[in-house]
Amino acid sequence: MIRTLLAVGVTIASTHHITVMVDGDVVAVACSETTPVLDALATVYRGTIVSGCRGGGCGVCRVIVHAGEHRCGPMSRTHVTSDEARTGVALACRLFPQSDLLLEAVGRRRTAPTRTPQASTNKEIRWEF
Amino acid sequence: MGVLRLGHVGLHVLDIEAATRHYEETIGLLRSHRDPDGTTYLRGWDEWDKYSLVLIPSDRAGIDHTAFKVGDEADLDTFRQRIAAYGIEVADVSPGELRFCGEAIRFAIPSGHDFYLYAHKDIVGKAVGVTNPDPWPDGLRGIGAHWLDHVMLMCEADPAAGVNTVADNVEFFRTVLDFGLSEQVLAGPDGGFIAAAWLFRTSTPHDIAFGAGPTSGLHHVSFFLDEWSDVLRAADILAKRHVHVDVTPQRHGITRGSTTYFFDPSGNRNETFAGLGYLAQPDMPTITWTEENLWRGIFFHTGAVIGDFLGVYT
Repeated sequence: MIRTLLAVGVTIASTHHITVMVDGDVVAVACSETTPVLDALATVYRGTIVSGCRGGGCGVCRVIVHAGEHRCGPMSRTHVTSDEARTGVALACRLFPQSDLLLEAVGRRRTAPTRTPQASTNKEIRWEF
Repeated sequence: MGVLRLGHVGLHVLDIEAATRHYEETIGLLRSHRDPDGTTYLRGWDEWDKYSLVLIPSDRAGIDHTAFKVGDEADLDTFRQRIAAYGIEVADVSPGELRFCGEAIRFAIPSGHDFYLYAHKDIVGKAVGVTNPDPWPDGLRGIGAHWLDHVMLMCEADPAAGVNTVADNVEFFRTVLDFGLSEQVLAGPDGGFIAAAWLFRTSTPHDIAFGAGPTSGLHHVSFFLDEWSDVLRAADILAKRHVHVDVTPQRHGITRGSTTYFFDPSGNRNETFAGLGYLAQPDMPTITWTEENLWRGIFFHTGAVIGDFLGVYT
């Protein structure tokens, strides 16, 4: 089947393993080179990394890439400065793996990651008085 | 005459081509002009001024400025004096500095957002013209939004530290710019903390809104549709075009509008909003939502938070 697909010119993007350290837990997921890491994580784990605008603008899906080759789409400099980008800070919605990656989630999280999709347990916004 | 209406919003976008495709093809705005550096000026088909949205190529997302139109140049003089007397610095803006506009004044509102008031902007006319017009034009793309309806800004607030720029903005807009307060959310002990506010100069429930957050920024820009079926159709269009939807069609308790929210390619939140809600007038008693009913006010059908609606913004 694969041979047939390749014969008719279908390109299958390389898939890499993404390991994410979050709040003392470690989660892992496969992610293709053309899929943002946030999307790959969201399909498997809920709450690992909060999904915000998915456009590189709001900054909630902030991660640090500790190891691995990657490329990033445009990210708002309000949330990731050029210096930070050079040290591996990225927004997961704009992060595309080019090899296996080791990430640390440092942006907003809702809950400890659970493998079963579940309804959001996001607490209501409360102002601290 | 004072402030007439919301004139335009300037948005920072990370990719001008992707942004332009979104606002032209998905929302259906019409392009009026593009500068050599890519800055693009757009309007709704039902607007007569040259533009209501400016897309600014940038390395960051978020709002650059908000501009309201006033009746005439005499209003600019009046507001220049009033704003300065309030203790806010006002800069004079020469004709053309705000593109396709006459003279203007620029100032920062208490939450730190940049604001302009101007009296004249070049007119291009509604797409249906002014002589025996059709109710809507041919060739509309995507959602075909009528006009820029309002903008909602996130305003820095830290109740524990006694900081609330939502309250500061409300005071400024009511006393200096003569806006009416249509609705508010009161939170905290004794409901003494104004967490969100909706203000108007036109007769719609709001032309601008403010919400409390840890930093100042943009919550959303909103485009007007006629009714529920248009909001549902908009949601279909968003799904067809794989736009990231924030909130599927819903009713707001606050303003009674029917709504759906989504993000532009840079992460700036958009809304398509339908219905005229109610007639807002300067003598209309202000509507209050209590903290326990906050989410019913925001999402009347759900009555609960959806996504991270107040925590995610540019």
